[in-house]
Amino acid sequence: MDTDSLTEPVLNLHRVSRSFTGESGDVYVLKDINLSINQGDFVMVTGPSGSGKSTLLHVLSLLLHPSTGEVEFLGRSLSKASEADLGRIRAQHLGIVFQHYGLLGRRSALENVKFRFRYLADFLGDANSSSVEALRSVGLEGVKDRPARLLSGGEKQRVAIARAVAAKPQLVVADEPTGNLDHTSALVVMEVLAELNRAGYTLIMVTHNTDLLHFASRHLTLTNGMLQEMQN
Amino acid sequence: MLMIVTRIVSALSDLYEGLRSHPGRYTLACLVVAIGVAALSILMAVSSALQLRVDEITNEFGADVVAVMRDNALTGRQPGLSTDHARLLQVNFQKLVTAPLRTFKANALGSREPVTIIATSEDLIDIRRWRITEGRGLDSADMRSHSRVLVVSEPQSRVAGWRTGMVVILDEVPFRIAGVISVDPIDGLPSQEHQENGERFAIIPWTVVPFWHSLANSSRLDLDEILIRAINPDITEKLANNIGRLLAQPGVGAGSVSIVTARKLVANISQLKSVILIAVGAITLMCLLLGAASLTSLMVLNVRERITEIGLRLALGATRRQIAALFIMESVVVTLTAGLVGMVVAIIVSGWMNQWIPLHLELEPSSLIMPPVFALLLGMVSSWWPARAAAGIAPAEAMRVD
Repeated sequence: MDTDSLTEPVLNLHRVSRSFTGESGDVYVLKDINLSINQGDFVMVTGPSGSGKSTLLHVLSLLLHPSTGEVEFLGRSLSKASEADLGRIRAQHLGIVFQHYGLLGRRSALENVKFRFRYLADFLGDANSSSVEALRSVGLEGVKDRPARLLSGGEKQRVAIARAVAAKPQLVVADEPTGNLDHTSALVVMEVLAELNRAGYTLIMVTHNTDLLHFASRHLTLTNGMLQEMQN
Repeated sequence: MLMIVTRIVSALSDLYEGLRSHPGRYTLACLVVAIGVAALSILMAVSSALQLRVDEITNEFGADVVAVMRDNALTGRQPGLSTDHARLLQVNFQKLVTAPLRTFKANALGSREPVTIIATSEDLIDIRRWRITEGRGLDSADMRSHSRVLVVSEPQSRVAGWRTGMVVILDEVPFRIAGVISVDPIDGLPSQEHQENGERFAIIPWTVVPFWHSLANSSRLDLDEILIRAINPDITEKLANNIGRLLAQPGVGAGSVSIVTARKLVANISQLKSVILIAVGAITLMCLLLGAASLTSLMVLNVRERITEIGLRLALGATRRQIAALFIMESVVVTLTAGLVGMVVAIIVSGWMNQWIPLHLELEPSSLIMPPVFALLLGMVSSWWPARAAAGIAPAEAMRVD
C-alpha cells in the first residue's frame, strides 16, 4: 500500500443515485450523493434501517453500479467499466468485510485468508506469508490452522478483516462488522480496524452503533438516501 | 510456472471442498450414473457381439444355403428327416448341391473322450466353405464304395494328434484319415469361439454308417439336417419356400422340420438384438436420467447453500464464467468418476457374462470410451442450469444472506 500520498482521493462519488424498480415504479435508495474518500480516512456511515446504508456500501465496494452519477476509483471513472473490470479492481484494490463474515466454515483461518488471492492473478508476493502476516496483524496467528466454523464470532470477524487486508488494498469497506458481535468482541474488532487505519489503510465502515464513532476520522449519516457529513 | 501450479491446486481445493459438502448425495448420484454407464457399455458390447454373430453366421452358414433341420421335439421313433428326404431333394433340385448331416458320438481307441462324428456327403465341405489344409476331402467314390475314411477338423487333429494317412479305430472299426480341414471363417481370422473351444469333429461318408453303426439300417439314416446350396443368394428364400412345400406334401413323411436360411437366422438375431437394445436401453436411459436428475437437484441445492460463498467469490474478483465453471466442474468430476467406475464394472460384468451366455462380449475401445464421454456430457448438461443460476447471482444480494 502506498502511504506516501495520504491526502489523494481513493474514491469519489459525483451525484450518485441508485434506484430499484418496485411495483409502484422506481424507488430511489440513494439520492444525488457526493463523496470523496481520501487516503488514510476512516469513514463511518451511520443511519437508520432502510436509509440506504447497505446500498451505499455496495456502490462503494463496486458491487453495484449507480443508476446515475459517476464513481471514480483511484482517479479512473468507472461509468463504462464492465463487470469483469470491476471484478479485477475489487480483486486488486479493495478489501471487503461482511457482516456475516463470509468465511468458508470447513477451511482453516489461514486458508480463508489465503482465499483472498484466489482470483488475484497478478499478485507478486507470497500469498501464504502475506496471509500469515495479516492474521498476525489481527492477533490470530495462533489459530491459523483452526477451521473457521470453530472460531468465535469475534475471531471470525477478525479473520474476515485479515482476509480483507492480506493483499494490502487501497480501500477497505466494512459492512456492519460488529453487527453480530457482543460489546467486548466489537471493541476488539474496532481496535483492530483502528490499528489498520493507523498503519495507513483507508477504511469505510457502515454501522448502526453510534458508540463506535470515536474510532473514525469522519462521520457520515445517511437519511432517506441523502448523505450528510457530520463534524466529529 | 508456480502461478499455474498454485491455480491448479486452488481449483482442486475448490473441487474437493465442494464435493465434500454432500458426500453421501454425491456418492449416490455417482452410483446411479455408474450403473447407467456400465449398462451402456454392456449394451454396446452385446450389440456388437450380436452383430459379430450375424456376420459369422452369414460367413459360416452362407447366404446361399438352405438348411432343413429336424425339430428338437422329435424322437427317433417318430417319422422324421432321413437320407430318403435328402435323395428326394437331390432328385427335385438336381442342379443344386445337397448334403445330409447326422451327428453322433463314437469312441476312439486311445482317446478318453468320444469323438463327434458327422456322417455326410462329399459336398458338405463345399457347402460350409471349409478349407482343406491337408490331404483331401470326401469324394463321390468314398460315397459309392462306403469307404471307411475320415476327414478331421484342425482342432481335432491338433488335440488327438491325428494326421493324414493315419488309421484310427472308431467303435472298434478302423478308419483311415484322408485329410484335415479348417473351419475358420472365410475371412481367415479364427473366431474367438473356434480358438477357445475348437470345433472338434470328424466327417465320414454317410453311406458307411449302415455297415458300421447301429444308427442306420442298410439303406436309410435318420438325419439332423440337410443342407442345400442355391445357385445364387438371390433365390435362397424362394428355394427355401419350394423345399418347404415339397417336404410338406402328403406321404413325404419328413415330420416336423424347420427350413432355415441365413437371412432367417439373421432376422431372428436382429429381433433378439432389438429386444435387448430396447429392454436394456430403457434401463440404461432410466439410470442415466435418474442420475442426471439427482445431480441437477443436488447442484441446485448446492448453489442455494453456497450463495454467500458465490457472493464472496464474486466480491473477490471471480468472473461469472469462473463461478459457472466451479459448479460444472464439480458435476463433471462426479459423472466422470461414475464413468470410470461404470467402465470397470462393465469390464467385470462382461467377463462374468462371458461364462454364462453363448456370446463373446468384448469391450471394444468405442464401448469403453463412449460411455465416459457420454458421462462427461451428462455432467455438463446436468449442471448447466444450476451453474447458470449461480453465475447470475448478484454479489450484493448474495452478501446479505446469512
